[in-house]
Amino acid sequence: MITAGIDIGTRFVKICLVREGRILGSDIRELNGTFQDVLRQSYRAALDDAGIFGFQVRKKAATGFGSNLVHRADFVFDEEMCAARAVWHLDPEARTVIDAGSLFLNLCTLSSRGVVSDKAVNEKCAAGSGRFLDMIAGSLGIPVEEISSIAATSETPYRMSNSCAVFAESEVISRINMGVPGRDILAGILIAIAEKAQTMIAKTGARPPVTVVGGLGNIPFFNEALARGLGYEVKVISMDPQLAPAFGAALNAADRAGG
Amino acid sequence: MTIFNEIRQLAQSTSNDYLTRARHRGHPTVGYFCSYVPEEMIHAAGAVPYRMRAVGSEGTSLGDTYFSSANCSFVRRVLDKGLRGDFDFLDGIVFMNGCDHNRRLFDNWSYAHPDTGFNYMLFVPHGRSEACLAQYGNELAKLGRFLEERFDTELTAEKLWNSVALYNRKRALLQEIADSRRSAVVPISGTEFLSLMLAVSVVPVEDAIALLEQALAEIRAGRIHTEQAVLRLFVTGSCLEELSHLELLESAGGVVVADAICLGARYFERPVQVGRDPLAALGERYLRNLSCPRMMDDVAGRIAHVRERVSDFGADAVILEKLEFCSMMSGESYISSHELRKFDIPSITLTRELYGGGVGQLKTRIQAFYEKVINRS
Amino acid sequence: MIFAGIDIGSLTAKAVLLRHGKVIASHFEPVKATSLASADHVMGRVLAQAGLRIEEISLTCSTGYGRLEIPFADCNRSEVSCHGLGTFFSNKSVRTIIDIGGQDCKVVVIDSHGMVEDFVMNDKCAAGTGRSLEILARTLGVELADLGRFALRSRRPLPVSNKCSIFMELDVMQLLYQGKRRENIAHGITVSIARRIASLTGKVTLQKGICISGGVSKNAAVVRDIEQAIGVTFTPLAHDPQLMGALGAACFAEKEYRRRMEGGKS
Repeated sequence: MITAGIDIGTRFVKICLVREGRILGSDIRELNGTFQDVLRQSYRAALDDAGIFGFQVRKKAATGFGSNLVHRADFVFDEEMCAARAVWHLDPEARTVIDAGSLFLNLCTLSSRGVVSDKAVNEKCAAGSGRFLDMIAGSLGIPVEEISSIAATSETPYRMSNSCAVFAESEVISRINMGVPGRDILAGILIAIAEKAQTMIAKTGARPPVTVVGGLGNIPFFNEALARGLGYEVKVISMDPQLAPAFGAALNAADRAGG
Repeated sequence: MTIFNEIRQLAQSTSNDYLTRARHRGHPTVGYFCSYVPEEMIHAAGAVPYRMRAVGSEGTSLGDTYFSSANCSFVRRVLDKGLRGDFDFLDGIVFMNGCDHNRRLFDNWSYAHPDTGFNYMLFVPHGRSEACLAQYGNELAKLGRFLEERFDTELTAEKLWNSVALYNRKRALLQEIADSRRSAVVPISGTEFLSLMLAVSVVPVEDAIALLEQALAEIRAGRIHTEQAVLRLFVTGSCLEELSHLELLESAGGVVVADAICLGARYFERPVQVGRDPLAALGERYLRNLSCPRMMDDVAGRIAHVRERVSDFGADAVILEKLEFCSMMSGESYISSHELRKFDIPSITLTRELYGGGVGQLKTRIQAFYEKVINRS
Repeated sequence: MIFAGIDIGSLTAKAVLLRHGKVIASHFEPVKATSLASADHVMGRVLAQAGLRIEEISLTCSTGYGRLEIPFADCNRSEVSCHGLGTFFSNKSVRTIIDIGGQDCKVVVIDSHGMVEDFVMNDKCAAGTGRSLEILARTLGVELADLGRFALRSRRPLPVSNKCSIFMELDVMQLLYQGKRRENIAHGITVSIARRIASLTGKVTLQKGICISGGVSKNAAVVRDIEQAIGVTFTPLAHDPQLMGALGAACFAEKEYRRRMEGGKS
């Protein structure tokens, strides 16, 4: 049976087509323009990537911030449920999953049977979010792929003093103008997000090992900062971490449909 | 070489050599929160009272594990420091229900149990009536029994009176230094005075007296901070321990000449009256001293005190300091600013996070307020 | 005698030259990398406009977030005082100014000489400031200038939170994804910002003769919605409302010059 997982984030649509626990095809697409058009294009691209026809997809599941807008979804699942399902599928040893996306940090803990036992969302938002990081990297002219390696060269990470994302942005911009190197700014932001994740982990009493999914999972410096703070290893999922919730949604859809 | 360099050093450190030396001589260190814990009792039990502070705090990430973001930054930072091991030199802490945040600090501290010795909770009534005083007396007796057992000692009247004498001496010295700011030529800035307070509340009382005597000698010898301040300020409010914050106030042209804060007048005003029963004397002094906003039945008294000091010290304006989420100061600053307006005393409420950012915004606010006050005259 | 006022805000730099109580040159532009670079450039522009050299300026006063970083300014005043005096210069009947800048909003009450009597500032949260409008316009996919025009075409504002810029942005995204009309979303944004401002004005005693200044005051929809939210009609100003800070600074430069001439200490 083929199922589709559709993850509507605040910035990207992520679609994953899955058969028997394996990814057949996928697509990640930025949300600009008309939402329904982007969704249609992305779904079409994922089908093409998998080399299958639309009618072959038995069930569709939606998740993420905009999941309620996927009109033809058979199921709608929580983000945490999907991220956890994907991680547990790939690594049954996983006990804590951090989904670090563009606006929110979601955490959930898993029992040894893969059941979600606890969930948390960060209370204060965007100053330490992936989107903020993106914004700053953009104004520094640093491509996303290079964020990690550039941050890693920082010796004195810059600590933001503002908790409002909008002000933090102008604080950071004024620092850049004052000559604080980009590497220190990026390292400071990543460490601040890692600290936030660390506080959430401690608050929920989550257990190791911790696995990071979502866009920030692609940034090794973030995973390392988190591992340093926690004092134990942070695992990286064996697939594109940004696609994990969509993959999990497809897996959940298959479970629900009984196959 | 001025003594104020050493004082500033002490003010900016969590621990110091005086404490270490006292410990080697057999005097453990006992932390305490708020101005309603009689230091004399801790001293009489053979320990050195240490006023808890967040000086040198590195953040709140560990503190946030236990507190929510709607708790004030003082308790979050202090707990954070505790969890980082900064207070491991302590042999115990006396907590107090200064406010709900502080009350929960005791719970969280007990639960997270950093390596800081015993945790004791002193419950202080939120009023000054006779019934409150009687209840406070019971609580002090209980604290006394706890300290006696803990340090295997007896809090005799003689020991307590001896401690009272030392602390009264310390208060008198602080009072004299504070009063020196009454003159037009201000010998010591508010920032320097706060650093003095921070220093003498974390060293043994005997050393504190020596430091204060040296500071006072310098002042008597004609020390000058400024001859003509643009604006003379009175500062009141809740928790305030950041030298950088007072520096911000004073760098914009003001000078703090008097205050009603915990690390200030609330600490040293009014000596303990020597009489028959030391605990009764301590109870009377500590419960009925210059009150803080936690005391529900003394708003009028506090306003009257501000008015009196403002006229006495020739202050031009009042700064009401409030930490974000401070439940005590939220109501108090509103009432105070309304009352002060009636008497034509300009005031401004500055809300901030302890060691927080946004300095640029604060600077604008302060400068605008100063300009407004100057335009009046 | 020529006096200069420079206002380096978070988003725009402004400068005004004053001679014999008349504005002879003014200019504003987006800020540059540093406050100093912005000040240099904007000053160069007004000098060129008036055909003057910097030596011909008697005194310069700075204001705005960058006010302390301009070495050629002779004195500085807070934005609050400058907006008060600048607006008063522009219209003598003004007693209350609602200023919405790039990063803060303030309400300033002035006396019959243009001096500050009372003020409140919202500088902790960006919701309702020019910066948040800019972000929301970007989310909506329209130019900042068009946001107002869109909003004016709508009669049915959609609900948008007014608590935090980020939450506002999420609300806007949801509405967009749902395929709602951009006009009504834009209207929702301006109403939400107006409510935010109205709650700020409740903290001072407003005096008759209320006007609005700052960059956001050029957004007709926001202005209309604020007027509705607090139930007033704004007093018009003789000069560009975005120049009030710089104009006030120039007035202060003149005052400071007279004070120094009279032998007052600087």
